[in-house]
Amino acid sequence: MGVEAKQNTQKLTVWQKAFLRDENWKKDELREAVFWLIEAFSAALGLVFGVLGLRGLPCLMAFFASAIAVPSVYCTSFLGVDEQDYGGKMEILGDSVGTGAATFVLAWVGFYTVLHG
Amino acid sequence: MSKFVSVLAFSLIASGISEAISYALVYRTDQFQHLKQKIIQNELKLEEEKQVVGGSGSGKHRQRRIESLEAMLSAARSKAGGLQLRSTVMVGVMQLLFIYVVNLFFRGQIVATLPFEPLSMFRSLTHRGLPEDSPSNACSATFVFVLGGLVFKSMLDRCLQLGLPKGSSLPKWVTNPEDVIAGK
Repeated sequence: MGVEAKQNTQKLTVWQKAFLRDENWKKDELREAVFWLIEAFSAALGLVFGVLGLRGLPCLMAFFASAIAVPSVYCTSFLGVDEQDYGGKMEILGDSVGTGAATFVLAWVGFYTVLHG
Repeated sequence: MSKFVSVLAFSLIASGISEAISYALVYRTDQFQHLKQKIIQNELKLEEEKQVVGGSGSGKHRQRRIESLEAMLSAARSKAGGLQLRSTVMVGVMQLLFIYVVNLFFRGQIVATLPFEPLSMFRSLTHRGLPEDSPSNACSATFVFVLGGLVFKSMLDRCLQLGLPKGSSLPKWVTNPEDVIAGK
């Protein structure tokens, strides 16, 4: 039973593992999951800010704060991963926050233009 | 909004063409594929070595193995970087051409309204090609194109996985400043 469970775990894709707790993660897999999490979060936050018509650079500050906090909470609280085992928070985030910022600004500007421009 | 979507679509096409150029010039070559496999294998070995606690050959011997693997990885990445130089130059030229075409088609047109006041260092990008008397929150096509390029290039990279594995894209003093300070 233990061997079967281990084999099943080994067959899981990144997408499947992303919704399961306490799985074994390789660094590249974790970075991939975090990248797509940040992308989805950035697009969603941009949509919300754009629809609500929020303005000003504090919104950008709020994005950066949450773009670092959300993956951190996801990794430690949900996935049960110790970030230090993979080289620290910045090692996992890599360049995801930069791309996320571009996604956020595009979504924010797009929806703001449609509804309030 | 239709102009905004048009610029985004053009940005996506431009990113796709750039990736196709990189694939044609570099990614499909045997030399690059060989280097890529070497990097993937060495990274796996390095990760295994770093996870080993105690066991045979611990301490100095293991540290030497880790350093040797890191040196091999660094050399392979450097060599792959050299191969990619040609495509990087081509892609850079293509991007300049795309930006020129965007400026040509959308000169003087406001494609979006910014929900923030851009910082002075970004005004040259957000107001590129717009008249002097345009509102401060007007957004030019160039800004949307550049942002779209950043997003789509990254996403295509992740989806297609044609290039090298990401590895550590940030320098050690950013990811592990305490190790650098401690002199590790």
